[in-house]
Amino acid sequence: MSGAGKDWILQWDGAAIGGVRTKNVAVNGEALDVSDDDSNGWRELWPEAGEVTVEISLSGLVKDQRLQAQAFDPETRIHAVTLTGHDGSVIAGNFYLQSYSQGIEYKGYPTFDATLLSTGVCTFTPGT
Amino acid sequence: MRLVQAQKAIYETLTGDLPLMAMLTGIYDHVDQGTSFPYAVIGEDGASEWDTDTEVGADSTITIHTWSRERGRKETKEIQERVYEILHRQDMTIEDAIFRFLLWQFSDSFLEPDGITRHGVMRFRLVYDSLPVS
Repeated sequence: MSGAGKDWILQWDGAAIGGVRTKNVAVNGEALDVSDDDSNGWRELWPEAGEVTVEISLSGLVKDQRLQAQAFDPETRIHAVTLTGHDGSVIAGNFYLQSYSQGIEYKGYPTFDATLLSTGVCTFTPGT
Repeated sequence: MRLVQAQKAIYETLTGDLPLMAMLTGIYDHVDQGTSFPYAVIGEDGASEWDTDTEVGADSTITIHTWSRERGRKETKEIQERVYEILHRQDMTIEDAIFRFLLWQFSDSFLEPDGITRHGVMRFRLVYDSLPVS
């Protein structure tokens, strides 16, 4: 089966995180508002972004303790992350572990949610 | 899925318990005509996917029926109690799988239309990851 979400492999420091079920990637380009009196009442945006950031959200089952261990470590929170698609496209950059939360239900398997924030350049290489 | 291996693991756990086996004439999947009471049957099981990016797994239900001809429900309840003790929140080994958890969901008991047979039903939730078949 190719093209399913599981074929998008997220690697954190070169190794896939076990138990992941959902990955969400959000790219935000902060707009620079350059409207002035000459804009005749229309908003004008500068063609270049003020700041581009990428946020990756992950959720799944707690089968891998690396994220959990990092969450409790205030230092060295930046790690190399690559997200490789089934078509060979790659999103790569350094990411800071911003948040990690765990759901522990008495009659189920523990689940987690984590948010990674880009730091520095993040690249996208299209696949075929 | 590891449906056969999961049923085998449940069967071996139940048949490996001496107090339970002392209460029953046997534990079956198919029951022959004329089997003596009381006995238990590993009955219907269902499974749904429990996959992640890195593993495939199954979230399954296992139903255990008990059949008794005792007057009253005491024998049925005692058998159900013992099955609960040895399965609920217990560990087990499943061939070609990684066991995750086993939880009791509910029990019930009925008087069958013949007026003399007591039928107990218990359902458990069994979750496991599949390993490559050895």
